[in-house]
Amino acid sequence: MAASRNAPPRPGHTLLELVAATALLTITLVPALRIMRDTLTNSRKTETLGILTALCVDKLEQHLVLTGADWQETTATGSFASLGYPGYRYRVERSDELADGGIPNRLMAVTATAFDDQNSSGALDAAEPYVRFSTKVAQLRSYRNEAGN
Amino acid sequence: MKRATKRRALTLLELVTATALLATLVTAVAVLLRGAHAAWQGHDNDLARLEAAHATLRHLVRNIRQAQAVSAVSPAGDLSGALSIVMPSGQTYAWDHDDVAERVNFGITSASDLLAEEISELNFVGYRADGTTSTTAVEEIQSIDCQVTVELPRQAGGSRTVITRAWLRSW
Repeated sequence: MAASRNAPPRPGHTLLELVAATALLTITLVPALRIMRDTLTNSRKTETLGILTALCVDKLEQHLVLTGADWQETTATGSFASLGYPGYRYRVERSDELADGGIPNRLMAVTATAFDDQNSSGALDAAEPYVRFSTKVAQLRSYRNEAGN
Repeated sequence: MKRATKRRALTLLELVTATALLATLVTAVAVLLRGAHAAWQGHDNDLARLEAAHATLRHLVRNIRQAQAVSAVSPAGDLSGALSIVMPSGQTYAWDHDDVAERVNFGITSASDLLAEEISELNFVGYRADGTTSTTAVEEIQSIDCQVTVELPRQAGGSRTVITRAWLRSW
């Protein structure tokens, strides 16, 4: 009897408390949604790099064939607009200079770069995603004969 | 006996208002989550098809680079193309696109096994040793453009094409 008499009054929850608790619950959803957004962004980056890889291999192989056929040092640039990728560009460098890793008239260094030209500058800028492959091909007279050169 | 302080309960109006607010909030959150989930699902489906296209290209290029010769190739305008190449082992590797099932089949001697699904187009163009003159004469083919197209379900009528040239290293 004495205990119940001395117990402090227990107030009920106010509407404000109820809404505040619900708002707190909602706030916990924000990080979850941010994680989902980040995952989507990373997934798109992976997709971009996958496409750039295929396009870079395309240019590298094309220029390996051309190098084998004509043995010309050159730098080629362009876009992949005809394939439906107007924002993606490439740069291929073929050099048999020692400084570039080649051997004059014997070994050609071929470097292909495919990149997402986000600022439409036509050149690869810092922070733009890119894929680069390099390889070397020897000069073979028999192949040049095969190509008619 | 001392009288306990009177505890005020929620009124019916407060209860109804709180329930309405809660219901609104839950609905808004559900809509938000459903939208995010749908976006993720659509992206995931697109990615799966793109990955199938890339996998097909990688498989083709890896084997063509090692091939000794081309033994059969479909015409350049055929968007449901087929290709057969002779490997150093003497075996013939064959790829064939099934435009009804929208899949690419692969096999030794004949294309009998599933390689990739959801591929809407597969096209091959052969080139002579100069790398610029296209040809359908198999004995002249020294490099091949392999083009794979997939439909993206997220975009109505949207498709994505990936292409790679592959050079036969032997002649």
